[in-house]
Amino acid sequence: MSTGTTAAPAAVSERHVLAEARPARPTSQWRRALSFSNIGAVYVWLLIILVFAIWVPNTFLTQTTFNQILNNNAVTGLMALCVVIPLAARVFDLSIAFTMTLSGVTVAHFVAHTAVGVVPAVLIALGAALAIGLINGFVVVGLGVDSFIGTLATGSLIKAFITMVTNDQSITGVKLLQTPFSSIAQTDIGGLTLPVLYLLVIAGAIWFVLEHTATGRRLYATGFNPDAARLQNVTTDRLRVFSLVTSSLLAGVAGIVFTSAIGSGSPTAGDPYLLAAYAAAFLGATQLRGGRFNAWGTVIAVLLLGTGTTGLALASTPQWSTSVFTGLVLIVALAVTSGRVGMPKRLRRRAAVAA
Amino acid sequence: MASIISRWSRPARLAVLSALLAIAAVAVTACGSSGSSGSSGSSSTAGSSASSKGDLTTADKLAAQWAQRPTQIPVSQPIGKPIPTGKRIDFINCGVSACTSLYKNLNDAARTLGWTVKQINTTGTPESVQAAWKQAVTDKPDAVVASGFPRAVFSQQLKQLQQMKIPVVESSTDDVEGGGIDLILSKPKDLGPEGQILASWITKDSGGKAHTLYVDLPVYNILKPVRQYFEQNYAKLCAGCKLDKIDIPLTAIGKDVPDRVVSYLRAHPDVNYVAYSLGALNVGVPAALRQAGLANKVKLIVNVGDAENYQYIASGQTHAAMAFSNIDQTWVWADALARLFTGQPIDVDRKAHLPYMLITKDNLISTGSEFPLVANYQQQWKKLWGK
Repeated sequence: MSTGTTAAPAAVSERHVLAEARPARPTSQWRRALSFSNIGAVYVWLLIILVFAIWVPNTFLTQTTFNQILNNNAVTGLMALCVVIPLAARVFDLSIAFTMTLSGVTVAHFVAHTAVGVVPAVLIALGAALAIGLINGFVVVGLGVDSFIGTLATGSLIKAFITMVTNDQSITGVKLLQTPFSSIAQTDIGGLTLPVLYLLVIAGAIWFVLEHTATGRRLYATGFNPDAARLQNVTTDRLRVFSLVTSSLLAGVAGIVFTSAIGSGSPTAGDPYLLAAYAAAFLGATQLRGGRFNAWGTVIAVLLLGTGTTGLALASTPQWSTSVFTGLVLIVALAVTSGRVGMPKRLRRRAAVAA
Repeated sequence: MASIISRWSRPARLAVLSALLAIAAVAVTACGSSGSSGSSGSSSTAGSSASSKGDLTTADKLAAQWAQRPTQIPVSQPIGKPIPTGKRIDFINCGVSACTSLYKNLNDAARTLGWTVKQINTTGTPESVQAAWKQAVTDKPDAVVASGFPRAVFSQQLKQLQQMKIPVVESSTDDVEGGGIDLILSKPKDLGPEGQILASWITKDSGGKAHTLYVDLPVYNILKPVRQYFEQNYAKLCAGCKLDKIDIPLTAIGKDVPDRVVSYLRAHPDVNYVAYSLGALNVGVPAALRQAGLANKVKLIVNVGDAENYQYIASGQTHAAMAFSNIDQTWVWADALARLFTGQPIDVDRKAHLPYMLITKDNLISTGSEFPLVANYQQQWKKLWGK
C-alpha cells in the first residue's frame, strides 16, 4: 500500500537503508529544528491560535480552553498513537476502531454486570485487545494477507461479534458512573483529566522505543525496505506482529478510557475515531522527523486539529465548518512542510541522485 | 497547472495557501453570522417580553400531567374475532440500535399471537434498503414491518407488495399512509407531545426564566417536527425566554458533541438549560461539563431517553427526559396486523396516541435499557386479543 511516496530504487543500498533508520545529524541544529520543513504544522497551529485569540478573545485564550482542548482530544490522541508503530513498519491496522469498541463493551459488561471488580475487568478487556492483535498478526504475517485488507476483514469480524453480544445496545450500569471505574477517565488534576496523562506517557514510551532503541530502528528499517531489512537479519515478520499487537493493545486502552469517560459501553464507540487517527498520524509524520511516523508529531497534529474544532465551536460557526477546517489545515500543514511521508529526505535525495 | 505551481518559491506557495485559508475563514464567519435559523448558534426570544403567570400555570399543569405514568394502552377496542396463528412477518431493520429494539419487542408481541418474525438487516444505505425490501417481496410474508425508511427508496417493492395484498406498517417517517402503506406510527403530526414535554418542563423548572440551547441532529428528518413543536410550545409557555439552537453533524456523534456543547455554553454563559432532540447527543456531555466547571450552571433534558440518560438522571448528571417506549409502538403494530388479518379496519390504530412521559429523578421507573410506560401492557393487549 502506497503512503504517497515513491519506493526507494534498487540503487539505494541496504546499508544506506539501515543507516538512514538512525537519526540524521543536521549541520545547524536549531535552524533545522525550527524550520518550516520540520515543524511547519506548529507554525500553522500558532497561526490558528492567533486567529481565534482575535476572533473570540473573551473565551479562547484562557486556561479553560487549554484544558478543554487537551481533555477532549486525549482519546483521539490515544487512537492516533495506536497506528504510529504499525505505520513505522509500513503496516496498516484498520481494526483499531473495532478493537477500541470491543474493549469498551467488554470492560463495561464486566464492571456493570459481574462482581469481578474494576481491575480484573480492565485486564480482561486488555486481554481481548491483545487477542485481536495476535489474530491480526496471524492473518497479516502468518497467512500473508495484505495488512490493509487483512485488518479490514478482522475489523468486520470484530464488529459482527460486538453486534452479536451487545445486540447493538449500549451497556449501562450504575457502577460505570461511580468510582473506581469512572476515575480512570474522569479524575481531574488541576483541570486536566487522567487521559491527558495517559496520552503523554504513551507518546513518551513510543518516542523512546522508536528513537532510542534497536527495536525502533528495526521497525523503521522494516517500513523503509523490508527486503533490505530482512537481508540485514532484521526479523521483519516478528516486528510486524509486534506492531499489530501494540496497536491493538493501545486501542484497547483507548476503549477502556472512553467507556470510563462516557459512563457506558457503546457498541459504536470506535467508529468516529478511525479516520481521525490516520489523519493525525499522517500529518504528524511530516513533523519533527522528516517524513517518519513519530509520536510527538502525531500529538501535535491531534492538538492542532482539536484547537480548530474547539475554536470554531467557541465562535459558534456552522456545523460544516469543522470539516472545512480539518480539510484545509491538513492540506496547508502538509504543503508548508512539503509533506512527504514514509521516507526521510536524505533517502529521497539519494534515490533521486541514483536515478 | 501543477508544473507551474511547483516552480513557485516557498514564500509564494505559502502566500497562496494563506489566502485560501483567509477566504475560507471569511466564508465561515459570513455564513455563521448570516442569521438563518438552525445552521449555527442562532438566538431568539420566545413570545412577548412580558412573562405571563397564566403561561407558567399551564406549564406547571402540563409538566405534572406528563410526569404521571400512563396506565392505559393506546387502543381499547377488542378484536372480537379469533386471530389466526402461524403468520409470518418480515421486519426490515434500519441498522441502528433503536430498530433492533423494535424487532425484539415486535417479536415478543408476535409470539403472543403465535406468529413468527423474520429480521432482514440493512446498513442504512439506499442499496441495502432496496435489497432488503426486494428480499421481503421474494419472501411473500403475511406482512412487512419497517421503521424510518422514506418511501422513495422502496417504492417499486411497495407496489409489488400492494399487488400481492401484503400489508405494510411503518413508523418514524414523514410519509403518509396509503399507496401500499397501511399504518404509520410516530408520524410528524404525532410528535407534538415530545416538544410539549420538553418545553413545559423547562418552563416549570426555570419559573419562566430560561435561556435554552436546543441541540439538534438535522440529518434525521423525523426530528424536524420535534423541534417545531418544541419551539411552538416554548414560545407559548415560556414567554420572554430565550432560545438558541445549534446543529450537530452525524460525524460528531460519539466524538465532538461534548466539545461543541461545552464551547457553546462557554461562549454564551447566560444559557441555563440544554435540550437535546435525541438522547444520544447527550452521551459524554455531563462529564465534559464537569471538567469545564459548568455542571452546576446548566440543566439538561433529553428527548427520547435511553439507558445511558436514565443512568445520568439517577446520578444527577442529567435532569429530565422525554420517555417514549418502543414496546408500546410495536404492540400497536401487532394489533393493527391482527385486525387486518381478521378483515377489520384499523382506524383505532391509526388514531392511537402512543404513551409519553416526562421522567425526572423523582419518578424514574428504571435505569435499564428498556421499560414499558404502561406497566401491565401485556395483560391489557391480551385482553383485547382474547388471549
